[in-house]
Amino acid sequence: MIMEITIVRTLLSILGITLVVGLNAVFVVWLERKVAGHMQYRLGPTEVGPAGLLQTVADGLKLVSKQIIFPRSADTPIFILAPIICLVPVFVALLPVPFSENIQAHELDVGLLLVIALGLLNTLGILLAGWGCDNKYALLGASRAVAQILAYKIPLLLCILPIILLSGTFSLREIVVAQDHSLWFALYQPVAFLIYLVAITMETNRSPFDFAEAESELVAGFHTEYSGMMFSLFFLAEYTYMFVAAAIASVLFLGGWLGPFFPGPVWMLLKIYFFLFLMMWFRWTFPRVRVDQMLSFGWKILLPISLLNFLLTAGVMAAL
Amino acid sequence: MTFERFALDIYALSFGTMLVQITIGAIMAVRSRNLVHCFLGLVMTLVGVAGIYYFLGSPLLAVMQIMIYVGAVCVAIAFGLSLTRKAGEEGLQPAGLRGFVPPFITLAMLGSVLLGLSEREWVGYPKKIDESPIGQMLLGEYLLPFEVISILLTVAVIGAISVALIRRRN
Repeated sequence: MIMEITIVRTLLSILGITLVVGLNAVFVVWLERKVAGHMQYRLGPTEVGPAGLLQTVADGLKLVSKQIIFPRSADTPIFILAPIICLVPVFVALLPVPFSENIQAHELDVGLLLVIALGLLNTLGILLAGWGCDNKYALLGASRAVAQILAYKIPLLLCILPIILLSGTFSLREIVVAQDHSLWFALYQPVAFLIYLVAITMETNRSPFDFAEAESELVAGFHTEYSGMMFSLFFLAEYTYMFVAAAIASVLFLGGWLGPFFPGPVWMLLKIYFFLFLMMWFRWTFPRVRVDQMLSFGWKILLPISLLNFLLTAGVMAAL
Repeated sequence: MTFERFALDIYALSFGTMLVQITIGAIMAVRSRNLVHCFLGLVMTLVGVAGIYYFLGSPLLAVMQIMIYVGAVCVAIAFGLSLTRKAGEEGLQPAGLRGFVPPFITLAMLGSVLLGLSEREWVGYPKKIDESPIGQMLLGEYLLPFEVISILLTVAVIGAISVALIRRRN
């Protein structure tokens, strides 16, 4: 009997994650275009469906029907593998994300570590994409992505450590439960919260830190040579990754599914889309900074501040 | 019991896939004449080993394997590659006679491991291990080695920076 439940549960989890990935991509692409539109005094998509909601579906159909072009000098196995390596980790990273007290695909006591580790695999996909298609702009974008990962990942980890000190666990579910009887961790750790916001903008390759793509200087960078469905796989990966990063942010700092009046999943989704809206706001407000500015910002400002914040937290907790 | 049988089959199948992935990756990493393919083979093997850790009941080790080996070591290698070599450049051909040494060593090691394991009990379906003692032991019993390793790493980083600085000055 337990076996049957396990198998049904597994199938349901796979179905649920696939639905979240697909629907989120459709919604976020629409939201991005609407937000961009309204920030530039335009309307954004209006024609297809109510308020243009079905625009992304139409775009998706177009992308599916487009031809996939393989450059002659590309390294074909790597060229094909790269978008898959980008997408699979973010798919798996949704496993430990809790949407309410009992909606979670798989409870792992190292859930937070898993999400961080899979985030590193995503960069590997970008790197292989840049290498595989034998294009100098793509290669430049890929090597920028690798330089960037070193600049944001260490401050990111140092911002997460105080939360782990406060909650005493790596399990995402337990971290939310730990915020049930106290204030949300964003109020205890405002510095870590702000640095985390900057770091996830860097991590998901969003403007003002979108050096791997940088369409005005690198002709779209690592995915220059990709077309049709393979191109959209990168975007599926990027938008899912944004979703995961926002979900982790709301679990770590804003108390996950906790909140008055509404049931848990509603709060969780509200918080996630709040973070996604913030990231879109950044994108359409700030101009792209230079690569060396970003690197020195990551190494010389974010890293010392987050290290100090961590040491201070550890000191205060030891003193109490 | 059919469901249990089914689950065990799936378990064995996934485990076998991991083993195949590790082997193919390792062969690719050694045999390929294209540096990027070697790198991809290395990544495949390391991810496969993480999978084995997970199937043997230790998610912590699996996640750490991905984080440290794939995330840190491989990205560092990739960084070095993208700075030093053109993508897809062909390497040197290996010497003919030396090609016989690796299979010999591999067979010898495999034989000794199998011989060592033949006395042990075989388990079909390992249980999850309690991993919390790892942290306590690292900060308790093995605190000195832990600290020595971190000092060693700091020395290595400082050494790398100074070597790079000397090169740049010349």
